[in-house]
Amino acid sequence: MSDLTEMEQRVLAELEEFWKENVFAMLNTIFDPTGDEREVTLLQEALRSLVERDYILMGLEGFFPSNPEKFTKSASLQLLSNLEGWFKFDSQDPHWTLSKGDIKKERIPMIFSTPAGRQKAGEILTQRGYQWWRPKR
Amino acid sequence: MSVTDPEGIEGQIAHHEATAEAAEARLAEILHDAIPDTNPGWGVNRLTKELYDRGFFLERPTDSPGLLYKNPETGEEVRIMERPLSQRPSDPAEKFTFGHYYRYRPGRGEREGAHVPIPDKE
Repeated sequence: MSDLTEMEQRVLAELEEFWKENVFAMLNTIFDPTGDEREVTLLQEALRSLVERDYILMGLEGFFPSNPEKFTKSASLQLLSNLEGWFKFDSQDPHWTLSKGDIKKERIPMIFSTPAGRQKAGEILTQRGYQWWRPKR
Repeated sequence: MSVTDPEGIEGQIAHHEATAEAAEARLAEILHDAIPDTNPGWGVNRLTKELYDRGFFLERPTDSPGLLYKNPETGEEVRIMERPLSQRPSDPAEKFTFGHYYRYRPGRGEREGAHVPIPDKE
């Protein structure tokens, strides 16, 4: 059906509405997070592949004001090479979050969809539906 | 097997009770990801006023027509969006129920909640 992996499809689909998302929210959305470090690895691999295919770019953004900074393709891949260092798992309220500092104040890695990525996301959503991996409420 | 006559008074009462229960269950589903302590009957103006009262600030318009509000103290985010012009079959119905809907994120880095319709008001 698609030349993209399941994780790559979930990431692109989540970007369809707002065109950008931070890496923590993305990971907490495409999985029901358990704290298994392979969850971060799977996200990292999906993001790397999507950058290579020109569907996304990475960048950094603050909270308020956000002042988003969108990276080039090569800088995006460089950020992704050390992505795991940004993550820690909060087991009290099970979710992935920023490893150091206050997430409300720090600039954190962002995922930005490209026009090609948005078009692909539309195709995926048409075929698979909104958040197909989550149980229907 | 039910022995209630569906055409009789008891049958009609049972039918209305079942309809009301289903409506309440559906409303609870829709409001599962609503902003805490808000009234689902509020329109856009009342909801926006409430956000400002709670310490939210307007950050900027969004790429699709809408506005992004953030609370720097709590890390909460609310996107109030206009109903999209086109609808694909997979789109959540809540995006198209009224002229606006919102999505609430309880903290930065957390999953954004589902689409919550905002009733149209004069």
